Amino acid sequence: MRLTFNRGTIVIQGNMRIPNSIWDERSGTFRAMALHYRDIIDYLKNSHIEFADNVLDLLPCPDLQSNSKIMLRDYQQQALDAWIMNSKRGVIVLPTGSGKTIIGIKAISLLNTPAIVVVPTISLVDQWRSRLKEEFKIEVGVMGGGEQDIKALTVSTYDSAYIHADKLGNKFGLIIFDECHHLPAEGYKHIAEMFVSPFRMGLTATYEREDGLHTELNRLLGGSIFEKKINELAGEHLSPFRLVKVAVGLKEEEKKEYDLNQRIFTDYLNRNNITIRSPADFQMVVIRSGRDPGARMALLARNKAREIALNSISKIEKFSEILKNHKEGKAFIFTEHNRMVHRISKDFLIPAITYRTASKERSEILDRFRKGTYRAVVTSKVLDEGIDVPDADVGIILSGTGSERAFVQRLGRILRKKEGKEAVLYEIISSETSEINTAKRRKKSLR
Amino acid sequence: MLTSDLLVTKSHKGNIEPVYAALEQENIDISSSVINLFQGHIEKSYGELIDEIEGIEEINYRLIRGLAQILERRCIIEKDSIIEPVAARRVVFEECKGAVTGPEERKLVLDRAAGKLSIEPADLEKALWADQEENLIIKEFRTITPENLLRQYNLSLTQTLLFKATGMEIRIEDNYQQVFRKIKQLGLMYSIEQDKIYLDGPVSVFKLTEKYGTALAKMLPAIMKCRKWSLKASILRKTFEGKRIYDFTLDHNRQIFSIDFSYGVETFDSAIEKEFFLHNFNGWLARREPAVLKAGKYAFIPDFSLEKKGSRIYVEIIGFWTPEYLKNKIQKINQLKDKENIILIVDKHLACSGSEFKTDNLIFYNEKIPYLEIIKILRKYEEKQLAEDIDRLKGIDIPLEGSVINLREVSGRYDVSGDALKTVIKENTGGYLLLGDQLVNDQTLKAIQDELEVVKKHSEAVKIFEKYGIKSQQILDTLGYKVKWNGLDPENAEIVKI
Repeated sequence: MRLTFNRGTIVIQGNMRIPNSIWDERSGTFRAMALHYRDIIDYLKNSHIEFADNVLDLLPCPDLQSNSKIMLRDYQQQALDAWIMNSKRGVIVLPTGSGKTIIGIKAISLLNTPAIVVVPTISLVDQWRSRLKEEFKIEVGVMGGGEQDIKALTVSTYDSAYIHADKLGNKFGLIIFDECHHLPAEGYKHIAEMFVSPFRMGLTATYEREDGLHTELNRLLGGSIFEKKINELAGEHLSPFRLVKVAVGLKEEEKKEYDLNQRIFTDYLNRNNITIRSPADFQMVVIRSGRDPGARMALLARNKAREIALNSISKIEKFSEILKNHKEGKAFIFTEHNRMVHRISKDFLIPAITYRTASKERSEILDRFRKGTYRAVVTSKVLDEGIDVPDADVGIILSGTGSERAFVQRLGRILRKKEGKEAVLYEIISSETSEINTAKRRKKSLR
Repeated sequence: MLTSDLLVTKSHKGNIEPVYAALEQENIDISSSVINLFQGHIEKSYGELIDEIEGIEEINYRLIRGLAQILERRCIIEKDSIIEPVAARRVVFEECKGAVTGPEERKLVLDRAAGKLSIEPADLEKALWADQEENLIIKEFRTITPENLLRQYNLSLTQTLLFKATGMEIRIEDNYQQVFRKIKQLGLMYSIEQDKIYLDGPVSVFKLTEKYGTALAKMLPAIMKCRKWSLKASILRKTFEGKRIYDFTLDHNRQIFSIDFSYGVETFDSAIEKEFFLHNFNGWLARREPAVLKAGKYAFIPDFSLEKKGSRIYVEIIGFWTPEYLKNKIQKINQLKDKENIILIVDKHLACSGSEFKTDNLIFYNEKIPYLEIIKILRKYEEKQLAEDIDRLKGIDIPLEGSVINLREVSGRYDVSGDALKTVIKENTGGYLLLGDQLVNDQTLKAIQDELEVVKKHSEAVKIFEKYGIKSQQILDTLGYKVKWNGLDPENAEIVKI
């Protein structure tokens, strides 16, 4: 019996079918998903079947154990212990700002094997790269954002890992999925399936997905093995915070315009007997818009209405007022739309970060914010997840998607522990608009 | 290739197809207006262009966006500012530190920053956001005809649809080498069943996956370079009733693209192959990469076939090699089903003994193609074929009717060589005489003979032969005449009874 790695799968040459494998007519061999590598090896060993294992082709790796000076907080240590107890597989669920990265780094040092970290955004790629470089004092490989450089420690975007899984799948002993709630998506699932890495770690602040697909994480990573809620940590390790919700009315002109557009949308729904209860219902309308010009008009009107609500003059006035009240604080401003980001950046001369901002400028802005050179930053979705922004004590949400996850992650950004600090999170919404519902949905996750 | 939101499809009874833009006046008009928009925005901002496109996209949103996406790739877009925007922002934000909350404060900050940079505040304001997409300037645009843009659009639609393919079946009749090289390069897997090649990837054996859709889409240009091709792809689509698999079929007869890949230019791996292709083998016609043969689990594409009258012999030329390559090749050839029908022409300097190939038709060559030996082998096939044909014909009762019978037509009808037919016919001509490639019955011969009695001129005799449909010059001889040439003018030639 001979096992080899073949572009994201394991080819098994031999005259016996092993669990998890099937006969492949094309190659005239048995074949199994890379995901099952460890199970297959365990099975062969337990059954005393002789086999040659040519699957792993690990990258040459320097010693990663030596100068680890990391001190874990008690709950971080508990999380790591739980993971080790679970045969070094599984998902750790901790709020943003509680130091998930450091648990990953500790796991890498402990296993002392080539490791790949898969992350959703370029900013997280940059962040993991600099943290790993700092900790292990070696060059770190990067896949994604135009870079393709594979080293014993490599950080990759989900997209690059998906594209290159067939080539990278047997090169790493450990695979870490940061923000692993992304993994169960139809395409990304392949990454976990096409890597043989016997050791797997998932990190996230929000295990559950609205579509229920998080159950897939059991199969792909080993399920949730440790969880701490935000209120279990707040105060002790995270800053306490105060939530202030500010509702502002639309100006008369805006209101007229808003109602007009909103009516086009609701009229369309009524005419076609559609009720919007979930994002899936809404997606149906989007799909219809491909064929039905009426649906497209309705969608355009809805977007227009939303834009009016999001960009309302009263909102900008309120925003300006809050800024004045916190002249000495460090403020982080979130808004969903890039147009709004640019408007704020332009009018208030606040550094902006969008998904288009080059990584060099992004790091510089964040760095200067950390040091206090800049005392405000405005951003769109790009910082939704996991980027370290220490020391912000004011957060302002100018518009939001209404998604629970996005809200929790954004909130986490200003909840870094600091002596005697109370963080304030403002949420500015337009009253009398459908945005109220969005805000209600967001708050649900705090309860 | 387009972004997937711009893909429009129609489906019917399990079949799916992109909504192609037919080369009709209406679409040509739309195409040319979008091109004109791009043309008219050279030296203007990208934002203005986008606004204008949004202005007309109500006509046909997806088509117009799709065309614009293709045209964008033909533009050079640059930023227009006197200093680097990133540097400009750095200075302004440093000056501002926190945030300004009023127009006067804002102006003060900008003035101070402009002073530090030694530029005008207005230039600074412009530079500050010059790298934002909508502020970029279109510097160059490579134009295209409206028809060609529509063709490219249709091709892009097809590839965008194939992104969602879980597998694809293709049939091709040439260009095998390039197609299989592409398959390998893209990391796809194939299985061959008769003339169908089924393509998917390693993981496909476990589940339906779109993972290889991009690779399948990238196969398209190579497939389209074949003279004759067809494909059938399985497309995974999310519908109101969940995921569905649709069939997408396309072949060389569809005139939606008619993109000229300028095929027909033969390129050869080596000089020896070119030489082989151009040589005449006694009426055997050489074809390049004529078929894909199944060699165990591999595909084997012979370099050439030599074809003549129902016989097809494959030829593989093994010139440049490495030990690994050779081992592979031997292994493949040994697994071929029709080993006896392949001729191997191996470079003499190859250090392998003939015994490693399980085939008789092995010729070593030294710099030049060994034609005589090849023809010798071909003759063996000819003889074998002749014997087979004769055998077959003997069992058939060939009806002979009419005054003159063309043997070529008869041999074509029975799919045998003319030689075989002649051999069989000779044994029993039953009231007919064999004249070249024709059989002439006795009555006709008699009639011709009678008419010739009163003819002297050769040209008149020829007219008589033509009237009866006889082609062979042998007839004069047969009837006991010869031609007497009087000078150079054939009009003066006479026939004389011997």
